[in-house]
Amino acid sequence: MSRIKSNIVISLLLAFISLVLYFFAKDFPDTSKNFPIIILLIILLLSLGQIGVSVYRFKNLNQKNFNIPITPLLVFGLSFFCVILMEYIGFFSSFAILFISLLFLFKIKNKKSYLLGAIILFFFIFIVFEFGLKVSLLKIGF
Amino acid sequence: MDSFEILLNLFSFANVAAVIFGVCIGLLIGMLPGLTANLGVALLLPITYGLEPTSALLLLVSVYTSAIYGGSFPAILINAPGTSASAATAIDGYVLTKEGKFNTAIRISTFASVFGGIVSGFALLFIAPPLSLISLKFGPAQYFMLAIFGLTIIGTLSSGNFVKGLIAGSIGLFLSTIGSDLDSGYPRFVFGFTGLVSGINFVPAVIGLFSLSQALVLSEDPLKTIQLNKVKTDRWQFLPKLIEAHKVVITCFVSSIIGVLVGILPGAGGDIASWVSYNEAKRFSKNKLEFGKGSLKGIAASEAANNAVTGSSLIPLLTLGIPGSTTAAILLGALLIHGLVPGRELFTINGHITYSVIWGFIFANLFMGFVGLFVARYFGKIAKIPNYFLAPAIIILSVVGSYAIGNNIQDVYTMIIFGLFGYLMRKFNYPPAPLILGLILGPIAETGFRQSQILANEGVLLYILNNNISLILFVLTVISIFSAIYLELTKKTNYEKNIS
Repeated sequence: MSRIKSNIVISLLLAFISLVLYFFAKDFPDTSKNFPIIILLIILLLSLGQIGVSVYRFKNLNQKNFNIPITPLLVFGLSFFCVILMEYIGFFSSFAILFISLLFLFKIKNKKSYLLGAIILFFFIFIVFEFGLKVSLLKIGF
Repeated sequence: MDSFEILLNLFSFANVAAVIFGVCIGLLIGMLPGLTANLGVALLLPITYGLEPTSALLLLVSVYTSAIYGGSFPAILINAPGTSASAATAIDGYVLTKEGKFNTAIRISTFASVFGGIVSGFALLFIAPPLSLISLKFGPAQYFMLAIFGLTIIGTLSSGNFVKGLIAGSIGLFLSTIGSDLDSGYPRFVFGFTGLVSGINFVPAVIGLFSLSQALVLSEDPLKTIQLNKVKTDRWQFLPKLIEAHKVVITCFVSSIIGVLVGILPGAGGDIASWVSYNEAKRFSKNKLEFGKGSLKGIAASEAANNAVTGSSLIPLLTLGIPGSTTAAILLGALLIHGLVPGRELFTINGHITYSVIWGFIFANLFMGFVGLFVARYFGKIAKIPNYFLAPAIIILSVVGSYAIGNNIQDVYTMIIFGLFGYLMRKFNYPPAPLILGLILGPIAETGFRQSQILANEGVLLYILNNNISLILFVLTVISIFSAIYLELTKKTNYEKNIS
């Protein structure tokens, strides 16, 4: 997708969401609705303005395609999965899975130092949070 | 509380430990290209929950100032500024490194950074207390106008994307309205999620937007490591030579003053200050040709100015609640978390905290210089930490940090959703800083607006503008908007020229 197309798609999406939320906010009690309604109208206007700016600014320029790389999205998916898993198998085991999964996803060659670094990080987190801040990470999920 | 008590409070074990830890972490973050002061402060924000307010704020301001200084190391050694504020340092610093004078460049950068930091600390100490008196004259109308003025900072925070910055700021304002309405108790935009009734927690949102999103950016190129060129370096010396210090002291002083003035302006950050100072140092130099060819004055000008911004950007923050930079916006959240409201109270009732933090900030700048000169020798090893390790480390610290806020898994979900949101914002060129500003200033603006509605006999706008302070703030708002538009148009013209 080119930059101009992505700008227009995002702006249209924002305009649509703000319009839906505007009708939703209209049912709020009097004192509660004024401020959100003003903000939603501003977002709507700015989104429409952004479409105009995108067209004006990029109409004469060569459009290069740009993509969102897949790796960060996979990393996000894995992290989200580990957060869900954390509630069932605990913090440390869940994020050990994340570290090991990333070992394969990133195709890391220097496995020893990577895993050693992970162990040191886990130890550091354990000391700081369990003993320093009294946040019981071991109790998560149990 | 007298000066002696403030010093006693400052040099308690917890406070000294906070400064030492903050300086070390800040330097580490600044040294690693791709990691920013915002990320450091956001990541450490939850840790401060368990600390006393003085220690908490000392930790965060130490990270802030040290990260800015640490950014000069990669700028000098590998021509890759650790932070945008150090971009001007790279011009002359890297030339010196290629000539085998890495140590000289680091010595000058350290001297100038410490100098700038200390000057800004004293500026904070002497300018902030009298300025805070203005806040006593503030009522609902003035607070509303102040919040609006604060939001116009968006223009400068969103360099080159003014409309997108405004959209991001408005989304932040909208997100601040989610949850139970304070007056009527009506649950707004919760859609049946009970977790949203109390609103969106600011801290996990900040961690997600600045830390997790950065980890996702790093994972785009996981095998990337810094390539260090082998360069011979001069004999390692820790303290600057007298002749070097004498050569740059005037430049340091002038650049620090420029940095302080730029820092006070809301939204103008260290990068602007360092470029302005660099240009001014060049303009007034007798030997203009040395700039760009390893000029010590060039390094000093840039580094003194960007560190002078750190303290002075706290002046509008502590006195009026307007953040002077993105990091200051996160620090505003830290103040509110610890029950400290910007304004006169910070210098009276909570004076023991504020003055300890200001003196601690000065101390942190001194300490940062010693640590920096010591660790600079090992910079090569630190900078080689690969992205494939940094990315999961930041993810885990973000998760554990957001959980630690209230031992609550829901904060982790908030953080992770904002992380993805922040990453997509970066990819689509929507700056995340205005969103945070909107989230912070939203409740202030709404409360001011509603109270003005109640107090106004006739039109609410007439009531809001019917006093001198509001009028001044209104004029400043208009100037701020038009200057942002002007900057946007000038940048656009330059951009189109470069493209064509």
